[in-house]
Order: sequence, then structure tokens, then C-alpha cells
Amino acid sequence: MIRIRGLTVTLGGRSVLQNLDLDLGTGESSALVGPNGAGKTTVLRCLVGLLRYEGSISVGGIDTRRDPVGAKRLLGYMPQVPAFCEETARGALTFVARLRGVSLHEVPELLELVGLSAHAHRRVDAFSMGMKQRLSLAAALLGRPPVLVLDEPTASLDLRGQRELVQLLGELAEDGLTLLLSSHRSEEIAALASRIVVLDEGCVVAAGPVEEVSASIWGPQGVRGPRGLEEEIA
Amino acid sequence: MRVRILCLLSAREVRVSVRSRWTLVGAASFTVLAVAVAQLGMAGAERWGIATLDRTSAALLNLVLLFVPLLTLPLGASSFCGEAEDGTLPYLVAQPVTRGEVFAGKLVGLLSAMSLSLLIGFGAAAAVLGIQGGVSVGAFAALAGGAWLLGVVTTTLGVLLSTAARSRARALAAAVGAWLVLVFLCDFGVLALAASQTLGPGALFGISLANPLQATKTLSALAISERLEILGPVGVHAVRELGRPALAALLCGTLAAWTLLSSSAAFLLFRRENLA
Repeated sequence: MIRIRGLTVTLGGRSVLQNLDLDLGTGESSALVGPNGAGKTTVLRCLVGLLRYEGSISVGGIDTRRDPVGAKRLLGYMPQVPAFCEETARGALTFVARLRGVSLHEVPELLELVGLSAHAHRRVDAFSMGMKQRLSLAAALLGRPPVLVLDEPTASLDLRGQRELVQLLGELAEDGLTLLLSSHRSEEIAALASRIVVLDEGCVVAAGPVEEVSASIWGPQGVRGPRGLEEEIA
Repeated sequence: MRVRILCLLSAREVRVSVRSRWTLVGAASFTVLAVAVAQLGMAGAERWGIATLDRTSAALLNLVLLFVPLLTLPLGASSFCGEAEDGTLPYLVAQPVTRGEVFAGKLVGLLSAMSLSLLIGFGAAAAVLGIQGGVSVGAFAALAGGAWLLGVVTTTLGVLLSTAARSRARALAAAVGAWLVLVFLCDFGVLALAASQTLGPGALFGISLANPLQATKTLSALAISERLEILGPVGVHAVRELGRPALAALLCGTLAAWTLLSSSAAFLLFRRENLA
């Protein structure tokens, strides 16, 4: 579904990504992990057309340079810091639905899915970070794109917010959605990803199934699943 | 370029500017100042026995030249880099739209917001001044048209500053700098050249054309008055050399060239920009 070859990005004279290759099959879930500045977010930003790059990226066989609109139609993007183009939750989703050429019937359905139906007419700037993230997820799901691109989806959430969002994303992944996320959190990765790609200083240093690669990152105990998160909350 | 996307993005831009109260504050400020300036113009004319119409029109023209760039340069300057800072612009670009559509949609929206503000401001001022007399309908329409053309040029110039600057604060500072240069420094430069008597009226006219404010001033003066003295010696020279229709076409062409160059340069910068 996603094929990246020779991705190289230079920002402000500094090489951020160097010759990166990545493949993600339909229905697969991959997590990009690595220290701050490793290039995780840069990969996702290249995918959605925010950064200039060398190399090639294709989504569903569509080259993102040749047909950026066609490629982005297959992607739902959830930025690390949620951004909305209108004042209310319903307005924000309606605007994105119109932009994506999606039926407006999806708006109440998705508000219901993320548990924000009761807040549809409230101003987004009065929302908690958890509510903003859930609204951002609803916007990413408009038009039911086959790929979700999530940039540290739970980074600014409290433990309860993390658990709720991870649970929601887990259900979506089970429905066959392809997920590509960047993350620092082992619980999130255990719940959502089947593969890990470890980045360091713009290069892939390890890649493979979660069980195989995780021990090298988080030690012999590997990643902690959602149960670990629930224990922490308790 | 899809018209549906263009309409959606430009309508949003208008809503953003209305929500920020920029449109209404700009219109209200312009109305108050226009009425005050017209009153002063008429009072002075009565005292000194000068033709009321020309004096009031000239006073309003000077207000337009000061006020319209002051309002529109920051409007354009805060548009792109402001939304890049708060994450809205990257979010828009990440949607299934092209950068060209985002740029055109935002630009059309900004120009619509500027037009709306001028329409309200001129409309309210026309209502007040119409009751009291003092400015003819034709002269007022010419002033409004000149103000709109100037607004288009300075809004696109603001957008260019916005795409070139790395932050909203820098873009706004650049907008204030551009206003000072256009309103004061360019005139001082032309005055200094005229005083030095090194250049003839033709060369001076050519140099003054480089300033869109001067082009608007000459174009509006051509439209509102039959008396050539209002244009100054350089303007008189240009009218005699070119004739009124050719001079008006040259001035309109100058303003169109400013708009085209500014918006093209802004688009090139935006198309290459990394949005983080």
C-alpha cells in the first residue's frame, strides 16, 4: 500500500533522512520509533506532501509527486498537534468532508464513533486535548481512507485519554485499516503495530515484527501491552 | 484547479477574517476617518473659498493612500505564516488538494475580505457624505475604485511578505516597513530627485510609477478632476505627453503588473516551502 524508496530530506542544510526505504502492505500496521530528531515525523510529513524530498513515495500505486491529490485521497492524516479549520466540532468535520468530496452523512456518524456527538456544536478551542485528538481522528477517517497516518497520536494525552484513543485505533486496525504511526510509547506500539521500523539520525537501523525488534529497544521484557497501561492507570 | 475547492477555501478565508473582526474594524475605522476628513475638507473650502469638490476628494484620496495599505498589508502578511504557525496551513495542504488550490483559495478569500471591508467602509461613508453633500457620485466611485485597486496590490504584496517570512511577527514587521517605504520614503526619494534637478519630468514620472501608491494617486486624480494641476507638474507633463486614456491604461497596467508579480513570486515561494 505504501512504498518509499531512497527518501532523503535536507532541512536547513541538515540531513534529516538519508536514503530511507519502507514498505507497508495493505492492512499492515507499522510503527516508526526512535529518539527525538530521528526523522519519524519527517517521513509522515513527506507522505502527506508537507516537505520536499528526494526519492519516491507511492500510495496504493500512486506516485505522490505525479498525483498528490489522488495519493492523499487514500490517506487520513492525524497530526501530532491537532489543527482545525473551523470553530465548532461539526463545522471542522463538515469543512474537511466538503474538501474531500465526502458525503456529509459521515459527519454525525464519525462524531458518534469518537464519542463527541454531544459536543458537536461546541467550540473546538474549549475542548480538552483528548477531545481534540479524537476529533482529529474523526477528521482523518472522513471518506474512509484505506491508510491512516498518525503522528504520535497519544503524545499529549493523559493515561485515560491514551487508553481510550489506543482502544479506538485498535478497533479500526482490526477492521483492516492500514496504519503508519510514529510513537515513543511501547503500549501504543504493542496495541496497534505488527511491525516496527527503528530510525536513528535519519536512517533505518532495525525493522521487523514487533516481538523480534522490541527486545532490542525496551529490553528483555519487550513492549508492554494495553494491560500494562491499565495497570499504570489503576 | 477545481472551482469547488477554490470556493470552499476562499469562503473559509472570508469567514476567518470576519471572525477576527478585521473586516468590520477596518470598515468602521475607514468610515469614521472618511467622514472626519471630508468634514475638514469642506470646512476649509468654505473658509478659503476653494472649490469644495476637489478639496474634499483630494482629502479622501490622501486618506485612501494612507489607510488602505495600512489595513491590507498586515492582512496579507499574517495570512500564510500565521496559519503555518498554528498548524492550520499544513493540515490544509495534507488534505487531497494541490498547493496551487490552497494558494489561490486563500488569495481569493483575502481579496474578497478586503473588498467587503472597503465596500462597507465606502458605503457607510457615502451614506453620511451623501446626506451632507460635498463629493459627487462619480468622484466617490472613482475613489472607491482606486482604493480597491490599491487594496488588491497591497494585499498581494502582504501575501508575498507572508510567504517569504519565517514567522508571523517578522511578516508583520515587514508589512509595517513596506507601508513606511511606500507611503513616505518613496515620496521623499522622488522629492529629493526633483529638488536635485538631475532628472527631467519624464524620468521622474517613470520612477514615481514604480510606487503603486503614486500610480493609484495619479489614476484617481485623473478620474476625479478635470483640472490638471491636481496631478502636480510631473502628472501634467505625463498627461500632455500621453493623453488621458493612454496614461490611465499605463497606470492600470502598472497596478496589474504589481499584483501579478507579487502573487507569482508568493506562489513560487509557497510551492517550494517546507511546512513543518
